[in-house]
Amino acid sequence: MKLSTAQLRQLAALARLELDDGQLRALEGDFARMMAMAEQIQQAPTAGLDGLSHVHGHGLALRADEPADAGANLAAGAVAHRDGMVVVPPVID
Amino acid sequence: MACLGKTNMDEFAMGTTGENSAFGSTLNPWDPGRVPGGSSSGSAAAVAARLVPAALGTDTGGSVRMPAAYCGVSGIKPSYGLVSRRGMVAYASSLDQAGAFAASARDLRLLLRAVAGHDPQDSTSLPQAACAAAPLGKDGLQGLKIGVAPEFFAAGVEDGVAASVREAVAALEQLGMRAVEVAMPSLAHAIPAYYVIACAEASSNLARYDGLLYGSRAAADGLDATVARSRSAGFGAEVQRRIMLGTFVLSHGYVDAYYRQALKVRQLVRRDFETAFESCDLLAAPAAPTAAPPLGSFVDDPVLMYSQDLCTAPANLAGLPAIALPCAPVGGLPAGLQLIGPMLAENLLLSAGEAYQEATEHHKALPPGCEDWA
Repeated sequence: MKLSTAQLRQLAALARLELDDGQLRALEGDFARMMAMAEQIQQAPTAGLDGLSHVHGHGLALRADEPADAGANLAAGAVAHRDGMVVVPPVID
Repeated sequence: MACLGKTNMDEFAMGTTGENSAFGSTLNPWDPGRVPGGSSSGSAAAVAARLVPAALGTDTGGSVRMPAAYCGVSGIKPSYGLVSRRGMVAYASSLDQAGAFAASARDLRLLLRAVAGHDPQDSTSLPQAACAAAPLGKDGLQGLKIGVAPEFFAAGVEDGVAASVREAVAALEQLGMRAVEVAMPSLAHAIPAYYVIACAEASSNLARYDGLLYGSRAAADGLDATVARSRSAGFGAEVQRRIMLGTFVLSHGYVDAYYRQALKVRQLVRRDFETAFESCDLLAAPAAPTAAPPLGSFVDDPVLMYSQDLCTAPANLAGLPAIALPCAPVGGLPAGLQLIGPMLAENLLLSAGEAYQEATEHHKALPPGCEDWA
């Protein structure tokens, strides 16, 4: 499958990327080769198989249903924090 | 353990060569005109040049073993869940695993012991994760069967690399192990399945980089335009390509044909490994299909770059541990033997690696102008 420049523009919008016409044209050839590679999986003999999304087969790990203070961990992982609160840049200038 | 610093790497761990970095390409200490391998390029190059005795990296499809092979150092991708991923930037969450580089398998064991272990703050961390077992020693390796699958030596693997790996297998046989042939027919589909899954997960994981709460911001007129401009300014070309592919394979009308089909191929790959390990204890394969290519070899063809992962990505799809060890050089450049084991068989892999390195000298070879610690 080869995507046209218009289709790539739509895909870029879905991916929330701003690509100009020159970038989209440059991407056309690379993306066609990537799609050709991806299409090879159609030839694999997978009838009757379930997909494997996670090698350990379990869902989300559960912890004890007890209240815990997540503030310290949250702050430790934040770019900036003040008085136990995560500091974020203004969303609307 | 004292951390000496951070090293260069491919942007968001997306790259086979080490050239996709906003800071420029890492150079291979063996030949600065060649790539060091990626994505954990700086870690491998730093260990090869003996700037550090050991280094950490991450391995989603070969990003530890590939640069280890190109730079002539030892590298291990542990079983999925052995080492916590907390603190790593997620690329493809079902494949990502932290790994290690060192000058020898013995040093790899020391570092792995330090970083392995259960972490309740990583939901994929295995409860039994540990790496404290004692080395098996030569006696413990007697009679072990090494599976050799022809599919790991398929088109794309250079003759010189194949010969070097087969020579390494012969050396393991000299140590009392026995080579047996096994079949891995699904490997022909592993690379496309890996890239479909990895890109799909990347497109989801990297959606958080919106320039508002996460990532750098490039202002534009309006919210949506700011998000799109921020992402386009912040992501390099290779990351953008993979996000685009991941968005496509998850999109309505295509998700069954691509993403869900790739998950089924992943099941096939895992079954092939399970079947192989019914008749052998570990698998031997090249770590990289070629010696380090010249810089810029894949600039015009990303798919050609992806094909370099053909020997490493299968272990990630199945979550299995794998180690890369320097074997006989090819054209004066390092080549890598890869050993792949069943889930949580790190001790077996490290023990085999230690025995191999006691019997050979390839891991002691140094790049021009570099000196060892001793």
